[in-house]
Amino acid sequence: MIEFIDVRKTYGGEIAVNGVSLRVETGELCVLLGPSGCGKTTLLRMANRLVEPTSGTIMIDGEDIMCSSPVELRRRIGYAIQSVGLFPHRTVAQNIATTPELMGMAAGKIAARTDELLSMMNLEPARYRDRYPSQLSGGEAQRVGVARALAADPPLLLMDEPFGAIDPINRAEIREEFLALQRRLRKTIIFVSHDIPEALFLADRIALMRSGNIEQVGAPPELIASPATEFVKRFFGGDRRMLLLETTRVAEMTIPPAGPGNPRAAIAAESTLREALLALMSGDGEHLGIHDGNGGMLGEITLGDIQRHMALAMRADGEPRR
Amino acid sequence: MSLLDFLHEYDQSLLIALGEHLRLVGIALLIAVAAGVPTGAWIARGEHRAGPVLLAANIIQTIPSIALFGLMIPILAMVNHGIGFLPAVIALILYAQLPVIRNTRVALRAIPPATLDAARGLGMTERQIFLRVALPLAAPGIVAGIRIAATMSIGVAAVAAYIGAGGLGIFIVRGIQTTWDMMTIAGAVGIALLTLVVEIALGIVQRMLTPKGLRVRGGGR
Amino acid sequence: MNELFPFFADHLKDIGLRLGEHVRTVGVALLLAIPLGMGIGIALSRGWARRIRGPVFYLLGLGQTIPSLALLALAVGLLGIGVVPAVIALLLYSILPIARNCYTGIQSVPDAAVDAARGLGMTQLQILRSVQLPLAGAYIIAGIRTATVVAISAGALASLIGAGGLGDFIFAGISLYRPEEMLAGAIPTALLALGADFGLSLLEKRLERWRR
Ligand SMILES: Nc1ncnc2c1ncn2[C@@H]1O[C@H](COP(=O)(O)OP(=O)(O)OP(=O)(O)O)[C@@H](O)[C@H]1O
Ligand SMILES: [Mg+2]
Repeated sequence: MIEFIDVRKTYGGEIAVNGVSLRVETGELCVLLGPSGCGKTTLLRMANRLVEPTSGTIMIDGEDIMCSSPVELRRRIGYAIQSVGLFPHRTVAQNIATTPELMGMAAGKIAARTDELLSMMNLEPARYRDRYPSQLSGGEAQRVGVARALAADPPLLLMDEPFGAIDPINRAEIREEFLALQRRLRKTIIFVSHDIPEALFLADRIALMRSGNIEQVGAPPELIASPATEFVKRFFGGDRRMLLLETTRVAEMTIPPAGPGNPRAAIAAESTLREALLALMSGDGEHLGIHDGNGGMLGEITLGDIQRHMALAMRADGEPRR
Repeated sequence: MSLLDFLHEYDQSLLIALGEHLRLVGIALLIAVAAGVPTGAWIARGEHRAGPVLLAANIIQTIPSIALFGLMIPILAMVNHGIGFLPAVIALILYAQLPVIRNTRVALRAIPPATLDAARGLGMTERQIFLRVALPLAAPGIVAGIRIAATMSIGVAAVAAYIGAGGLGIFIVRGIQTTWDMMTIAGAVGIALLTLVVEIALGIVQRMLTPKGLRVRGGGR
Repeated sequence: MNELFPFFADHLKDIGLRLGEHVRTVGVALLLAIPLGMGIGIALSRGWARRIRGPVFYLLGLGQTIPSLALLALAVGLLGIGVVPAVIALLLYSILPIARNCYTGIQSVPDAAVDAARGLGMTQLQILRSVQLPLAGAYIIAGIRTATVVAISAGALASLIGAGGLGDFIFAGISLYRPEEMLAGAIPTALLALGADFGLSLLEKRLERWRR
């Protein structure tokens, strides 16, 4: 768990981060989202003291980060950035081994850990271990960057647009892999992005920032359906209903129990409303079965249920609450 | 008398002169590197310092070598070292500053900021960042500067024969004084060959110090 | 040191004479080196020179590493004593920086500018004269600046092979151990080099600004 308490950062007279308070729970992936220059990177870099706050407190698991030396603190926190910053003179394996080496882990253990991480990143260890960064594609380099951040198995990860430098197709792929990995590892992650689909896809919660302030914090559907300010509403653009469909999972709706007779089609509760809608429209029945992914039926929904959920979610047509 | 006969007859004195030449250049370069690399690193960190330092090094570099000797001798004469090894070594050290400082600065500044940021973010100390990341990456550029300084120093050391510092330049001094062309040419050829050998040898060192990761490209995807 | 000023005063005419010789030797060498160096630079920038470009620059670069004293000494061996071998040695020595910078300058001209000129119907020669060379001006001046400093320095050594110049004072001063005479040569030589370097740096800056 990491907590920012009234954290400010000014450069000269310029305010970069303006008294932000934010709490990211253990195992949660919180995306810092917002336009360029709003202070995302600055806020993130204060967590491992690459930037020292002008005022305010940052606590990790209840301990003020100012109590440990920056170097010691950083070795306990994973760090991955957009430009990757792989060391060009070290092989992939040596890059990943950086923090474990700094922490004095035994060589044998490091080698095993490196291979484990490469496999975890879908990079075949035997093929990639001894390559140099110049021999990697952009996507591969970013995977290595993430592996390096994970190397010492830190409970907390700071990621600044770690998938920012790759093309959209590979980006979607690496994003999915990463989400699957996070479901398994349950790290506490602060993830900077200025890409709306990426944020909606990955975030447990989004903190939407604007010129040094957090405008709203909440789960993706919450921000879309009930924006706290005009800025939040506009940020997600005109087609918020579509976004809501794409980000809300069926499990989040009230699912009525199944009626008599088996519905023709069924879909996992993990699916999005958009997928449910498509299934409903392409299937021939009025009802769509919902299963829990392990064979258990949870109930069934109709087009009307989705409509009702959407109407409720976007109360008052999603006018800002203030 | 052919050049070969000359070389045969004077092989001993040529070797001694070569030794003197190498000693002068070697000592000067060691000191120049010990002073210039930290200076280059220092101005790479604070850009506002770069202007004055590079200007000073550039002015020294612009002064013709024989004029620098002419300026230094009267000054060093006050401490009874007007001619000989000391003024020569000082001049060589001064001349070597510009290439060493400039190349060190350029090589360090060429390291992508993201690389250094990542190193810091992963928990390296400033010392570890310098020794494990910055220095290996900047090494080829720094050696390139030393290489320039070395070839230049060999040339200036040749002129230093005129102020009694010995070395291969002595053959040119004597050859011109006595209008014995063979001796002049032997000195000139010796110095030229020495320069080429050192230039090529340091080129090899430069290549060896270039991290493999900077040499390989697009290995196989 | 006290003798310095009287010596200067007494030998003002001599100093002027040697300075004149120095400037003459260096000037003639540069006047020849500039067209030659630019010619080589321009030639190597042409498409047909692609193959020989690398080797030519490598050879010129190796030639440049040969110390000026050695080159002057070789010139004596081959051509004898006097102003002519000195000018030739200085000339050879000045060509590389000019050629290399001229080539780099032409390469630095954006392809778009050359394309545009071609589109306007300019011939190769017109493009070279009114687009590439003017845009490469700052680079070319930088090369001439390097060449000038190198030539002034080598020009001081040229006194050894009978070409006169300010080196006469320095070498005489050293061999007779007369500090005032050394300084009478060394100070004007240093000032000449620094002055030329500074003057050409101003010209270079001016051309750079005009480029933008
Ligand atoms: N070292 C610095 N010195 C001065 N100002 C800075 C510094 N770092 C950041 N800033 C300023 O602070 C503000 C926030 O910068 P920050 O890098 O946190 O933005 P960001 O939200 O990460 O933007 P982006 O999406 O473009 O990466 C910007 O206005 C920026 O110019
Ligand atoms: Mg940023």
